[in-house]
Amino acid sequence: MGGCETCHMGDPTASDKSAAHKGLVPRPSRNPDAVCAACHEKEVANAKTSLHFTVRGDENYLKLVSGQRWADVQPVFAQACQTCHASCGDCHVSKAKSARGGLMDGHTFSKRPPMEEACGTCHGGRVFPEYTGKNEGFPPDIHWQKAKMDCVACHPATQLHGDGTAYPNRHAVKTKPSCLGCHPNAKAAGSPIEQHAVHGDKINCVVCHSTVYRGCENCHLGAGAKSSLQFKIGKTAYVGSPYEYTLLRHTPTVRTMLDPKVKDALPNYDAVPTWKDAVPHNIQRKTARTASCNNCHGNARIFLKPGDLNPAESAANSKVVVPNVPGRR
Amino acid sequence: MLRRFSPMLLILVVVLSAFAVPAHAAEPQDSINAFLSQLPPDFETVAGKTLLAKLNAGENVFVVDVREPDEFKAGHIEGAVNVPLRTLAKGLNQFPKDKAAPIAVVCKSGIRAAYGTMALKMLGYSSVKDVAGGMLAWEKDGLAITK
Repeated sequence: MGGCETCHMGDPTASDKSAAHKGLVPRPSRNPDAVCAACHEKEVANAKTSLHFTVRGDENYLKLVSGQRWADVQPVFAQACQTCHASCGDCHVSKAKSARGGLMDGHTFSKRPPMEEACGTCHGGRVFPEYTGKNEGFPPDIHWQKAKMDCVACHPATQLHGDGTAYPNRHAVKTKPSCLGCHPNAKAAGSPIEQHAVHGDKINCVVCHSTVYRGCENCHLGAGAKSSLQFKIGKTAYVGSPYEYTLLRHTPTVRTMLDPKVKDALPNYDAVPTWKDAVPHNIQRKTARTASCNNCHGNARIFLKPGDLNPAESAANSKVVVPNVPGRR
Repeated sequence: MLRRFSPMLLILVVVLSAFAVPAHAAEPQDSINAFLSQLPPDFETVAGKTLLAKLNAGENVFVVDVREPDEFKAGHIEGAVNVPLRTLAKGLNQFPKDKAAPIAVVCKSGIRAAYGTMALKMLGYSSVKDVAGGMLAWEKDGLAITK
């Protein structure tokens, strides 16, 4: 291993700054084959196909809703979305741009970086605060509250780096964590827990076992972007989900979100709901919904109903609403 | 007779006063100190956004609006029950039977609700919160009201 120039290039023999910095690469792991792969060949090969590195989930969404306009949208995606993707160095030595960048601990590489610095900066808008109990009035996720399980306890490196498969989105990842993976006795079929047996596999675990989570309005790029705590039960928006009902969160996608860059860029906007399957990181064993059947049955306010939809948004939202709230027990 | 006993009576009063006066003076101070020192970090308040999120997640929070009926009719939190502050102690038949059930007390700015919160605590309700800033803050935050 040589000096700085091994990864960052430049000319260490130069006598002045401008000459020394000629050809400098500030973030070398953006091209991991050139630097990291020399020692970490397998990890780099997998990481290059991972969702963290490619942001393929967002790319696939934009490809779908932009249709024939993808060629115009692709540069915007590359500039606005893809520059946020995580390369090796973004997790193992430096902090995200959203955390004002910089190094985590000098230039020390960390095999297992602290979750506040590595995960909490990019996922600090929704997931990290709810997991660690920063949503006022609501407890942390029980896995953090009681067991202090850090992010990699459920999302090990093999998953964060990817397994070499180019998954279309995070829901499709085979190695994603599942409740039943650690709690096999919670399986609905033959469960001694009456509510599990009654609801079967129709209802995602999070419907009963999570507290509130954050949803977003309007686009990150546009004006009026805001977020709020939400809780809405609806029909799953993810084709291939094993469940019929799950929690939905509002995503920050509006019809005109790319207009400042590309006018009328999303001709297929109505094909995808803006209410999407939420993966709340705020699990509790006991919630209002585990306390009483009638905290869900007959309680219209916790379901996503047709009247809750913004008519200016995607027509596909009508597929995920619950028109008829189940009656009281 | 009275004249004969009056010195003894005077001594008795002085002796009793010696014990009674300090004890009598210390008691409310100690009680108030105990009360104030045990106030929770949130000062028994709940933010409107937090309350709404709890209601939207199916939590059975009993919302009592202690404003006057005409204020209540002008706009209130969905599902709130109107029991004006001065009638609070007489309106307990409308409250949950379980005194540990969560209760949120709301008024216009939070002042009347603070009195209401204290009154309900004194009446044995253990999970009572004052909606911080009242309906003024609720509406400023853009939260929904019902008429």
